Amino acid sequence: MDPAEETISHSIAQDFTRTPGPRFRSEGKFSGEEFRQEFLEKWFAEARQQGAKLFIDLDGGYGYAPSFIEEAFGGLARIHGSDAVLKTLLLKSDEEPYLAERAREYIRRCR
Amino acid sequence: MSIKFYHDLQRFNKQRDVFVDLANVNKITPDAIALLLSIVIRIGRVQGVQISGNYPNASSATETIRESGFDQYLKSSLPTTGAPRGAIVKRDFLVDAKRAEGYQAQRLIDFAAKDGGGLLRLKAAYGHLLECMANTHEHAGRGSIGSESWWASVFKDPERQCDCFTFIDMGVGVFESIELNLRLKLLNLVGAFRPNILRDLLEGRIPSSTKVAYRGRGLPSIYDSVVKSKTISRLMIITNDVYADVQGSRFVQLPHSLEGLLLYWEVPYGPS
Repeated sequence: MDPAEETISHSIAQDFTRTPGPRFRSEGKFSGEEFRQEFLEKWFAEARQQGAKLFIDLDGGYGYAPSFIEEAFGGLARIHGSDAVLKTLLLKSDEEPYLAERAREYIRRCR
Repeated sequence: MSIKFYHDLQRFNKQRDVFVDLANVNKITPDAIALLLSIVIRIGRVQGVQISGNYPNASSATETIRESGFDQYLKSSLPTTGAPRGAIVKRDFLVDAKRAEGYQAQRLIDFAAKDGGGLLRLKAAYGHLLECMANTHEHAGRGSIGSESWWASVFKDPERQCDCFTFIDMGVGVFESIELNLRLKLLNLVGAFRPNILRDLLEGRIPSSTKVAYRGRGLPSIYDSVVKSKTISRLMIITNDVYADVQGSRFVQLPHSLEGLLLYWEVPYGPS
C-alpha cells in the first residue's frame, strides 16, 4: 500500500451496529444487505471517487454470521466486480483473525 | 432420556393434558433440557392442552434443570433458585416481526460472557446462532417461509470449563426440506447413505438448496469452526434420523427420527 495514499476509515461496530444480523433485510434487523445498501456502497463510492482506500474495521461487535459478511462484501463485488473491490477495500479483524480473509474469499468467489 | 422418548413426545397428538414424568431421570444435559422445553411448549400451544410434570428424584438432575432457565417458561412449585447457570431464548412471534434477531443471540452471549473470559471467545458462537435462526426462517417451515419457531440456550459448565450452546427448531429437518429432497431422491437412487449426505453437506460438498452458488454458508461455517478455526468444540447435530458427532467424526443413522434440527456445541472458557 502506498503510504501517501489516502484512506477512508469506518467501523461496523461504531457506524452500523454491534449486533449484526442475518443476510437479508427480510430475515432480520441489521442485515448484511442493509449494511451494504445503507453504508458500504456509499463508503465505497466515496473512496473510489477520491482515489482512496476504504478501510473497514470488523472488530468491536458481538460477531458475524458468515452470510452477513458474504452479503455485504460478496454482494459489493457482485455489483462492482471482485478486482475493483479488492483493490479499494482493506479489512481489519484482530478479534477474529480468520474473518478478514474469509471476507476476501467471498469477494473473490462472489458469483 | 433417549431419542425414542423425544420421538414419541413429538408425535403426541391427543387432546388431553400432558404430565411429563421425570422422576427416574438420573442425569440430564443442557441440550436435552432445551429440547424437552421446546417440545412440551409446542404441544401446549398446538394442542391447546395443559402441560405439567415433576422433577427428577436425583437432586443433581433437578438442580441442572432448575438452573438452566427452564423455570422461566414452565412455572415451578419450588422456590426460586439462586444465580442461574443457564439462559434460554426463543423466537418471539409477537415481538419479532423478523426471524433472526441479533438481540436474541446477544442475550445468550452476554450471559456466557459474565464469568469465563469475556466476549471475544464467543464471537463465532454469536455468528452461528444468527446463521441458525436465519436457516430456520428460510428452510425449516412446513408451509410458508418463516413459519417455524426456534429455541436457543446457553449453559455454563464450570466443571468442564465451557459454555454449552444448543439451537433447536422443530421444522422439517435437513432431510425433509423440499429442495434437498429432490437431491436426496437422486442420492438415494445411487445408494447414498444419509449420514454421508450430512457429512457432505457440512463439508460444503452439497451446494445450497437455494441453488444460488454464494448461499448455503450456514452449516459448513459451523463445521469449519470446529475443524479449521477451532473457535468452538464438540459440535453435535441431530436432524431427522441422523446423528453427527463432528469432532469424533461419527455420523450414524438413528433408529428413531427427531423432527427438525438440534445443534449443540461448546466454547471453552478463556483465561480469566
